[in-house]
Amino acid sequence: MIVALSLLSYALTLAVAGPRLLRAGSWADRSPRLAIAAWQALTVTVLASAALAGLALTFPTMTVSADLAELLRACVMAIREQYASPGGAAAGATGAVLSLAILGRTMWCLGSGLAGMARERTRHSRILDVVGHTDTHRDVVVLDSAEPAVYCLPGRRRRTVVTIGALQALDEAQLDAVLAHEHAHLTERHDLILGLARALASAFPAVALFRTAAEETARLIELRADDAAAARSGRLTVAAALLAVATGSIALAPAVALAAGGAGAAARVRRLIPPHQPLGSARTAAGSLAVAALFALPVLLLGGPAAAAAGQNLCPDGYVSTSTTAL
Amino acid sequence: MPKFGDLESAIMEQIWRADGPLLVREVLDGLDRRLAYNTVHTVTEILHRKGWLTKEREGRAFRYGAAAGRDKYVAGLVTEALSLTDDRTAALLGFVEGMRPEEAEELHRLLSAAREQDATA
Repeated sequence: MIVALSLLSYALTLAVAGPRLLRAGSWADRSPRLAIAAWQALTVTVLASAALAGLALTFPTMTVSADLAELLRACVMAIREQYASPGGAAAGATGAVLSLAILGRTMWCLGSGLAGMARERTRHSRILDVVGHTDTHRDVVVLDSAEPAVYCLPGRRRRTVVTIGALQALDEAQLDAVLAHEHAHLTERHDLILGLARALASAFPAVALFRTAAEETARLIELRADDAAAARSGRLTVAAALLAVATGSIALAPAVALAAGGAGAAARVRRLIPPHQPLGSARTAAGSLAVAALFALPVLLLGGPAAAAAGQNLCPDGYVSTSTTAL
Repeated sequence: MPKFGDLESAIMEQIWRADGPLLVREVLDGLDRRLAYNTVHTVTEILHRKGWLTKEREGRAFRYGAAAGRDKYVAGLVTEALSLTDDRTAALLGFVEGMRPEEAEELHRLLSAAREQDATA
């Protein structure tokens, strides 16, 4: 019971305080890659803690033993003991429902999210096959449209698409920067990272944490890809390329361009203009450790009491176990 | 032997370029390749089934026309690419979204100032 409650309160604390911590200061903008990992760790840990809390309620005692028969017997004893009382049975049932609901909902939304992504991509790709021209020199697909747009289709048949409008708006160095940006999206599988974040947000719409995580992830993968492009082409070139593509679309289709939300683009250009100040290696290491600690804590919560109780014999007399442990 | 997708694309190209619906024979003539009539006919039928082509009877043969102009398909793809924030599935990943003109103007100024600084440094 105590383990379940501490796991639940850990999940709650993280869900409330986590986003505030991750958004404090400018460290995320300076090291978007670490920030993406931190958001992933935060959401997965909250989810896992809540699911594990349910598990801890359902199976109060687990045994660590070399002998399988012995382990099963000890387990059965402990479970029987708990379920003999109505309160214990209710807690166990609640825990099971909690765990299964969280796991089921997550799996369902993740599965349907990924399937939808694949379907949409296939449909888009089929049309692209017919109407796009392949530029083998640059390894891109060119679309006959005056609207400047650059995007990529991740997945097994990954491709980068550039419109004629974008080719006209960009000079050679800027185009190189844009392609490096898309290349980073493709090789680092940002689509899966964002797909996971969005699946969680749609699975638990009431949890603000998941919504915030999805929004932040969408923003951070762009910053990360900008950094990758800047490493190749220089920050000012990337900034100029962003401006060229973003302002080009205003002249032609203001409604479409602005409906897509212009704030992100301006913030990205602003970030690229001053010289880059990446996080120092000490702070990056500290951040990475903090991210790892997020994951480790629920495991310790589960394993700590188990270790403390090691050697105790929780089973009825007449049954001797060398290493039964309680959670 | 050209890839199937290439042939689909080439057939659509022929039909979009033509003034009106074409017979399979006319499509084949325009393709300028050593393709079998049956191959072109099969792929044309597939394109019809997929909704790319319309089909009308003429005598003993059929004429195939484009269901929609090429521009319409291209515009559809570009619109999808530009409205990425509404896309909840992350099927596509874009480069940049639009920007307000007054913001763009200010950023252009900031950028050229930074470039000058770079040049003098």
